[in-house]
Amino acid sequence: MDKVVFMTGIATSFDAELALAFLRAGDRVIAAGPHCPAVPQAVYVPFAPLCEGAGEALYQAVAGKTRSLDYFIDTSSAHFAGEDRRITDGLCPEEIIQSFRANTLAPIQALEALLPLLDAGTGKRLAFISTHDASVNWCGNTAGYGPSMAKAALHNILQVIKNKLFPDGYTFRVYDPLPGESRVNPVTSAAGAYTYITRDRAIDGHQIERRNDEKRLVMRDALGREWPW
Amino acid sequence: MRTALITGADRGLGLSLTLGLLEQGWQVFAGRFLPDYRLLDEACARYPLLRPVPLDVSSRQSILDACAMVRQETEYLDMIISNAAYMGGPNSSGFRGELPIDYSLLEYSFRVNSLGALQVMEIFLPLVEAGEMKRLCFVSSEVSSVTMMHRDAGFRYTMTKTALNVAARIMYNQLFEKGYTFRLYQPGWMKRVNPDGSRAEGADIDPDLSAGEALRQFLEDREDEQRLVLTDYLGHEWAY
Ligand SMILES: NC(=O)c1ccc[n+]([C@@H]2O[C@H](COP(=O)([O-])OP(=O)(O)OC[C@H]3O[C@@H](n4cnc5c(N)ncnc54)[C@H](OP(=O)(O)O)[C@@H]3O)[C@@H](O)[C@H]2O)c1
Repeated sequence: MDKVVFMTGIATSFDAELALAFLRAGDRVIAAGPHCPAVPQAVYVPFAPLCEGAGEALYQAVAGKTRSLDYFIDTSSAHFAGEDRRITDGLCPEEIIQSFRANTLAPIQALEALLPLLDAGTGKRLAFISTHDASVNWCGNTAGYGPSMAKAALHNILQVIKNKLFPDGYTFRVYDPLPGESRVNPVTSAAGAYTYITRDRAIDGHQIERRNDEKRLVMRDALGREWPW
Repeated sequence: MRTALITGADRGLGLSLTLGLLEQGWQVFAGRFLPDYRLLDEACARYPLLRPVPLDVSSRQSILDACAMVRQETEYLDMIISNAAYMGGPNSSGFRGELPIDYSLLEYSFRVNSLGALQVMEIFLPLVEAGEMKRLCFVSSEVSSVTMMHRDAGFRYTMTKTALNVAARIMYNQLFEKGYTFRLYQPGWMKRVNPDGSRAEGADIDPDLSAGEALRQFLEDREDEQRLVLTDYLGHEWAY
């Protein structure tokens, strides 16, 4: 209730359902990028990542709407042509770069820009919608270099950022909504994301230093499973 | 005759790997990137099977040109070692740092260390297909391990090696059943090599030492080739 949520975009039905879950709980949602007709109650701000002054412009736009943020949710899942190509099919290197810009650099730039507003909030929770296709351990695909490499890079960055910001009270969530999984749909997957993002993880009250699950950066999915990096 | 391509071979680990293979009688196409380093030229006088090839892995055209040059001399490659990397640079890839994050340098680092390695493998793959050994080796890093990450800044370099690892996994998923084998290697914290071949102060190990262990791991066939694992210069296995 009464939290302020920033989303890097509301583009898919999963994103829309997630935004609606926060709105139903009485929170405010500010989203970057184009207006999503399914979520008219959200406040939309422009963001042109990686352009000159993009971070400052985003900060000014969001600071014009709120004095603080509690949740930062990266929903980036941009896809580009040629992602179905295997290494023997002739890769599209510039599209791999596009994927890296959209799925790695853009959310990091948004987070860097909005950190002062998150510092001023009480939630301090940073959530990233990702995919186990970026798991070096588990990826079973023979194509999809762009999105997998982009999200794998993001996972590495998140661990570095977590090491920096956890002492300041920040906690992290990485969530795989499992698009294409028959046991979930955008509504149930977003419901899972909502509880995973908003619920605190276990801290053993007697041994806080030794058993604090929030210390671990993990990726969990819409079925409640944890994926190795 | 066994043949290999090694990227980023002007100095450091790349040069040590090059000389190590030449000592074992291999023909080596050694990627040259640094115009002010003459160590490869000096080695040419001692090793007739050494072939320096201009190669900037951040440029697809440069990789295509290098491949055309290599094709003039050989119809196959047994092994590729992707070693070239952009490291160092300003402290502009962390949160709450002195400098704001430099996004164009992040992209450049990805272009060299991740996409560059992938494109080298892609473009040279037909030559490896024609070879017998079919071994694709990637010099990765301990900082590629998300699980073991200890840093709290400087992700410009670290992120590229995780991206590299997943690219290697995707290649493996397609190519292992076609007879290709893979190595992911973490060389340790190595001493920097100066233009005259001397070593800079600091760091743990000499690149020659790490290259010796790397070549042992790269050249030996394993019973468990189906396991794509990241191993280090001590032979230890790293979590991803
Ligand atoms: N040194 C360490 O402690 C350490 C630790 C873990 C992993 N590694 C990995 O080990 C490998 C070798 O490292 P090293 O210490 O021997 O480093 P190095 O001496 O800098 O060798 C890497 C070589 O790649 C070159 N290079 C940079 N950009 C390139 C490009 N676009 N195209 C082609 N070549 C390019 C470098 O040139 P410039 O000098 O001009 O950039 C350099 O000659 C790298 O993959 C590195 O990531 C090193």
